[in-house]
Amino acid sequence: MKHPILKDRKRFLTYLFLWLVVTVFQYFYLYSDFSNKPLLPVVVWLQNLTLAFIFIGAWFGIRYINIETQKPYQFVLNHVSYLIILIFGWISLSNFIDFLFLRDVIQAYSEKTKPLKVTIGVFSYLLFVAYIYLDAYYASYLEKIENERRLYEILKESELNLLKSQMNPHFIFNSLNSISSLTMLDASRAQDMIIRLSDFLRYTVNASKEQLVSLERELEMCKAYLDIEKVRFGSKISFDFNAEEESLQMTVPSMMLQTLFENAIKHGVYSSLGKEDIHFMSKSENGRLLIEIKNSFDPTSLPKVGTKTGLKNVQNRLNLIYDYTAVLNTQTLENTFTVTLNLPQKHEN
Amino acid sequence: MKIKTLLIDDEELARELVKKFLESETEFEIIGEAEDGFEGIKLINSLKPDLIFLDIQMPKLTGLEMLELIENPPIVIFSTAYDQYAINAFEKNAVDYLLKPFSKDRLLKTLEKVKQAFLNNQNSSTSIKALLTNPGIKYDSPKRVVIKNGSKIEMVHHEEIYYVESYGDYVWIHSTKGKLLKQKTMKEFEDILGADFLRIHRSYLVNIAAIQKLELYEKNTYQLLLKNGDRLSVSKSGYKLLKDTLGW
Repeated sequence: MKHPILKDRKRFLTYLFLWLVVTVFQYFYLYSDFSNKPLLPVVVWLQNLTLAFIFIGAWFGIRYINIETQKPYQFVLNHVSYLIILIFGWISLSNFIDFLFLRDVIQAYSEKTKPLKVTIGVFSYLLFVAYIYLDAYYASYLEKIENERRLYEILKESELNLLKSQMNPHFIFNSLNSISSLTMLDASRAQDMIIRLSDFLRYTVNASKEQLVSLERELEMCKAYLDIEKVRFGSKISFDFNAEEESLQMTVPSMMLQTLFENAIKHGVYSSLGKEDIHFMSKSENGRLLIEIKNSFDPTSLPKVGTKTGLKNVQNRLNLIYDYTAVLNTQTLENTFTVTLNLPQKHEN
Repeated sequence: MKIKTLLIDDEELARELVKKFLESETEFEIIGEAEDGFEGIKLINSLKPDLIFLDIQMPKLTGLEMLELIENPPIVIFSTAYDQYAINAFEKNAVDYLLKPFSKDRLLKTLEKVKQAFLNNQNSSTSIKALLTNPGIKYDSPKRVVIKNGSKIEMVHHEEIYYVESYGDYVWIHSTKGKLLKQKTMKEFEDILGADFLRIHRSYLVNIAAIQKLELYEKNTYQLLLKNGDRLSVSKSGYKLLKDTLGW
């Protein structure tokens, strides 16, 4: 937390200027009675400067008085004690200054200025405190706006990443090429594949509208996706699903499993000369959804570029959606890669 | 005389499509099919095709990496689903390519050009060589170097390289897999390996991650000690580069 007055030079000078204004008024108020005292403006200015610096120093204590963390009576009591101590201290100090410079008229002067000092002390304290709170409030307001803007950017970015991964052009154009081939070899399989591809595309187009979908729907789309890859890669790819009945109605972030399956395919069958498989498992446990996707891969094949970005995007999205209460784990064992998800079930507002 | 054609694509349906399209083209004879780059190399060497259809994205060894390992490549028609950078490089180097999915008409047009080239006894080795050294083509490719080591093919990941040493038109690649010779220039390697490597000397390109420390050798000359124990001399400009890049 930065000092609201000492934060920058402009604020400090403005603060001193305001005290100067007060001093000028005070001087004119006192001028008629003490016109024979050339040191009067110096005395008044010194007094006010003392108070100005007392407040600057007092901020280091006042900043801990907080209406949000303290009970109202504590809050008021704290301020009243601060006020009394500061003003009492200041008045004693200023009396000492008066005594130094205006010894001969001290009686008349202190009588004339006592109510003035109390008034200035109390009002300036109130103004100072009001300023501190307003300034802190404004700073936190700006910070909040900045945070919201950043959150919004992260959300937009993850949406964009999502869209990009959905519209994987390699996958789509290769699939269309397979269909083109099938139209001449096996028309009914071609039709089948067109329908699977349409299922997949329809889901992805709609998916960006919803954050959470049922596992059942998400899996249907993933199966469409895997069926298409199966047509492309034939016996090189095999997969099985083992979803517990109860888990099917639980929710997952839309397109998230698809991203994980796509990863499994990319590092499995896309990078291997042999046969690779994928196992899916899901169950409900203590109201949370547990998912495991396990794929085999060729450990001798070197990692592809961008290995981690897919998983990192998934992690970011989980953090945003579940506010850090979801768990994503990965494990590599010889030739199997396992991703596990542990998702809380929340109701979308 | 027929044009002997080899198909290299990891997807069976993609190969079937080309076969179907070529059925009516009597000048072309399909003499073989390969599912991956390794098989492709074997078949190219044993069957000596005049023309290959080559997919770029294949497991383990991409189509482009495969071409690097072949001495005198035949005429090549690339086929790819989507690769903006590769396409730019193809066009720049006048290499024939097909974007999947492609029509029969599009294929026939490309075959017309191939026939001309074949009749004029041209092969595409110059344009392919230019293509392979085009930095744009490396954009999305795996960070590895493929090297023919006798009858074996070594794949060296960029991280496994300690340093690259120039050797005439060749370079020695000093790596965790040993010392391997590759036909490529230092300049090409500088482009491929990128910012993780520093040219510390006319003859040396060093992996930053492999550097152990810089030692004073003689007055004003330095040498670099690498994590594998090798010591390399550092040139004046190399010394400056090291200081600027690593903030020494």
